[in-house]
Amino acid sequence: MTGYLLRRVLQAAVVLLAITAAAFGLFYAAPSDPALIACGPKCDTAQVEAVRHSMGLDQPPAAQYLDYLRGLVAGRVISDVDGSAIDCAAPCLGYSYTLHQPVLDAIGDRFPVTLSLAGGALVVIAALGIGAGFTAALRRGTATDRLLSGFTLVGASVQIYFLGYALQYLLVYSTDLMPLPGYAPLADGPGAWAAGLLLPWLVLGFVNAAVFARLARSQTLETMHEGYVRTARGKGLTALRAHVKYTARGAAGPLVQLLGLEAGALFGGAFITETVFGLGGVGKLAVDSVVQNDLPTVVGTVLLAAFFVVVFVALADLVVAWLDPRVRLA
Amino acid sequence: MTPALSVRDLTVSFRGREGTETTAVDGLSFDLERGEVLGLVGESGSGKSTVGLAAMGLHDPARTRVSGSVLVGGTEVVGAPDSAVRALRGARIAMVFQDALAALSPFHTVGAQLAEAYRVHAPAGAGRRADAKEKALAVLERVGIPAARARDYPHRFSGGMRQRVMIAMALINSPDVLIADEPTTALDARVQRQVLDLLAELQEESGTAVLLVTHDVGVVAHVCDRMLVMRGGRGLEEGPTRKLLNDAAHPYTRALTGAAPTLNTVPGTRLRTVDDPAPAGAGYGGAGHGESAATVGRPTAESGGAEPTSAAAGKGAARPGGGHAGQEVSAATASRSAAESGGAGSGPAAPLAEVVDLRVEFGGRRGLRRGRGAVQAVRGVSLRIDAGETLGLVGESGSGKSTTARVLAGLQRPTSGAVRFDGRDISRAAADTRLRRELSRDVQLVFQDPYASLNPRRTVEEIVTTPLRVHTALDKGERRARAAGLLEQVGLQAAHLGRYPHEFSGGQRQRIGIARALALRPRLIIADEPVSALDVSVQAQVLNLLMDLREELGLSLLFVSHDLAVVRHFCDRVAVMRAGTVVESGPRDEVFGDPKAPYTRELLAATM
Repeated sequence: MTGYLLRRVLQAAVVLLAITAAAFGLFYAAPSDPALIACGPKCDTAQVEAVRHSMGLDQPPAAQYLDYLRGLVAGRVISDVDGSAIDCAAPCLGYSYTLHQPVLDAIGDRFPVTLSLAGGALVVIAALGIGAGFTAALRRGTATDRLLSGFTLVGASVQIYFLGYALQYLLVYSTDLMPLPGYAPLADGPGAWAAGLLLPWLVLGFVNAAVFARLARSQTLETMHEGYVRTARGKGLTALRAHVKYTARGAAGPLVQLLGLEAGALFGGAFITETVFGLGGVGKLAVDSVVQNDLPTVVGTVLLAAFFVVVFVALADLVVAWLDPRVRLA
Repeated sequence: MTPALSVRDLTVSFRGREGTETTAVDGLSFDLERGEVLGLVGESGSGKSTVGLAAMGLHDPARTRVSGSVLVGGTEVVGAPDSAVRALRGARIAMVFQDALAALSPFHTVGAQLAEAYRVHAPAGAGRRADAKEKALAVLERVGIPAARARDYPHRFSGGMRQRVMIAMALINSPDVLIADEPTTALDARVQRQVLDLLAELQEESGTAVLLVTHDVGVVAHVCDRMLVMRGGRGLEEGPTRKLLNDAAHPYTRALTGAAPTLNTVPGTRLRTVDDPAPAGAGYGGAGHGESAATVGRPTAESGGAEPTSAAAGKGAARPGGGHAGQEVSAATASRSAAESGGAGSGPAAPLAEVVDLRVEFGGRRGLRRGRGAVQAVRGVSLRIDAGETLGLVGESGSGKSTTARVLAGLQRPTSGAVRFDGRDISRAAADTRLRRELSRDVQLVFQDPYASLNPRRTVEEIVTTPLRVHTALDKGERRARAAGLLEQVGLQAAHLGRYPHEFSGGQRQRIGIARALALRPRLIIADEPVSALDVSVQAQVLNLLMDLREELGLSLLFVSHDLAVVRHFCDRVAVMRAGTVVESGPRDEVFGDPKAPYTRELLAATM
């Protein structure tokens, strides 16, 4: 187990290193000049050169990359456009000359929004998708099955920006059934926090639930005729209890794996949902940074997204191994 | 006193997707008295397993129709509300399934699964959980498994131990009725014997009535007081086991009990066959108890279920009967044996195929710490097969017999040792495409699973002519003519060339596989468990066919099997394998008549 974890962490480190290298390469491939952007449109050539020097952009790329990696591990001191020193503690993701703050702080400001949005959406995805799929399988061929399968298919085929705005209009502006979506920190009270995020959770969850529903249905159908489910019924358990305790356990593996991938993706930011509901999360930060050529922020958000995917996929593997004692972690 | 289980006019039918209905059990009636062991015997499709599930009320209600009556100690199961049947299940009627690995949850410890079986029916109360745990440990000990292993998961147990756990689970609430569905079929002979003995012992101790569902007449003879023979969903004949084995009224029963060779059958003799495999469901019902439907003792080449299943329903007794080839020793077998003993005297001729000090390892680490953690499947085996002889390679699962066969076929690379065919080194055949291709001209295979070994998307013609296409210059017409001849040789018809494998029964598919193997007139045929997936009556047909072909074509065979009786019946020489080594080898009569190795004696003792 310890060996497995160690190997897994090493693997993750290699993946993340490759991603930083790729993202950093992008930094130089991009047709923009970070110094010019940082300095602003009114700078003359000498001023830009001065800024370039203070930003360390006149160093060879390899040296800059090593500098970046050193910053990730040990922190570093970065000079701002005006030459003043900024202390960027580890893990230093660089400094955004557009936002005038360290990238980590920029992400940190927005991360609670992303965390809240993704966490709630995952709960909706798991409950709605897996619940619908499991129920549809147990009632295979009935009206319930067709209704649930059809309902989740609607989710898969509708776009977030359409569904989001439509529901906002129907439930918030026209009828006042729901409060205006928005982010209130959890610290200000869970009621306001949940109320503001309820609609985004439902929309993001519903749209992503279909693939889970389909997988849950087919997995359940495959498992429900296993010998051990029959044995459980032979003991005198009710069919429902046998399916909840045994069928669901047997069907869970691939669902957990997929949920891990989904979690990794959502924690990296959900740009469309954030935009539709006016939530300032990491997704919006990432897209804005691309639009504004804010390269340190681009690299930082890309790295963050990759980090979450790697972490959640590994976590899913651990859960699968815990669910099924036959799985050996290797 | 009411019987433990009373079945009256039980009919079970399944609805298919397209509204079709298949009757699996058709008006069956029988009683299982208290404390009795009744064998429910039949071949696949006879409906025997369906009876067990119906008695437990475990059928999928959405697509199954059950009528008639099943009384468990006087309580009706058919049509009863789920809650009423649930109260019986696991408490007064319990079931042991064939495949214990599949029947036990891989996610829960053995102890937890046992305790649950007790807890479900225990009265609610504070001590229920502790009682259940204690009870679980007690039954585990009773079936011969240390209580400490209750915390282990099923995959860490051997097949025999898993089946013991299943039995413990079924008996934990001391039920009145135990339904054991092929409880030992997946087990090796010695383990099968142990598990059956345990079952008999527990049965005697608890007085639980047992309905033993099986295809294996040997098992029934060993443990059952009475037996009931099923065919096509109906009860054909019922009576004391001894009487039915020795003096059955119905020809089908006689054929069934005589189809499998035993350790007392005269080797090489023609085995009894049942005319046609029973068509599934209603088709057979029309024939009722008609004696004409089953003809005993026909030579296979003439009868042998030569029609695809789709056409099988229409035919009956109208086909020409063959003579009773009976129990005489075939002249060819006798002469071959004579030639062999003569040959042994005149000095060793060069063997057709041989392996010397063969070793095969699987897995393990590569690179620096090479070989560590490897499984040694074969550890130093030496064998020879002479031209015209049949060598039987017998052993339990994991003994390395199939691996040895695969090396000789050029499909498995040996770790070390010499492998020769006709004096030529073929040890690199598995890695050398050209060598393997050349070898495949002379060495062909017949596989165990007649379903998996034929490509479902190819016609019989394509299947049988593929070796000809690869190895000969024959044109399409010539190949087709050759294939037609081959089909007739294995008891099928030229008209079957255009059909697909799924249109044939298991035995017919195995014939197609044999025709494919024969296409190139190979000098050696390697048959890996060629009859173990077949029903006994079909097994008899295929064995008869192989004996005929061997005689006609002078084949050399390597016959791999776990079944000692079949090997004794079919082979000239025998090698007994255990854990990757040959523990004993020699002429058939020596090995079976006067076994030297204790392991061989053990195997023989366990053979029923």
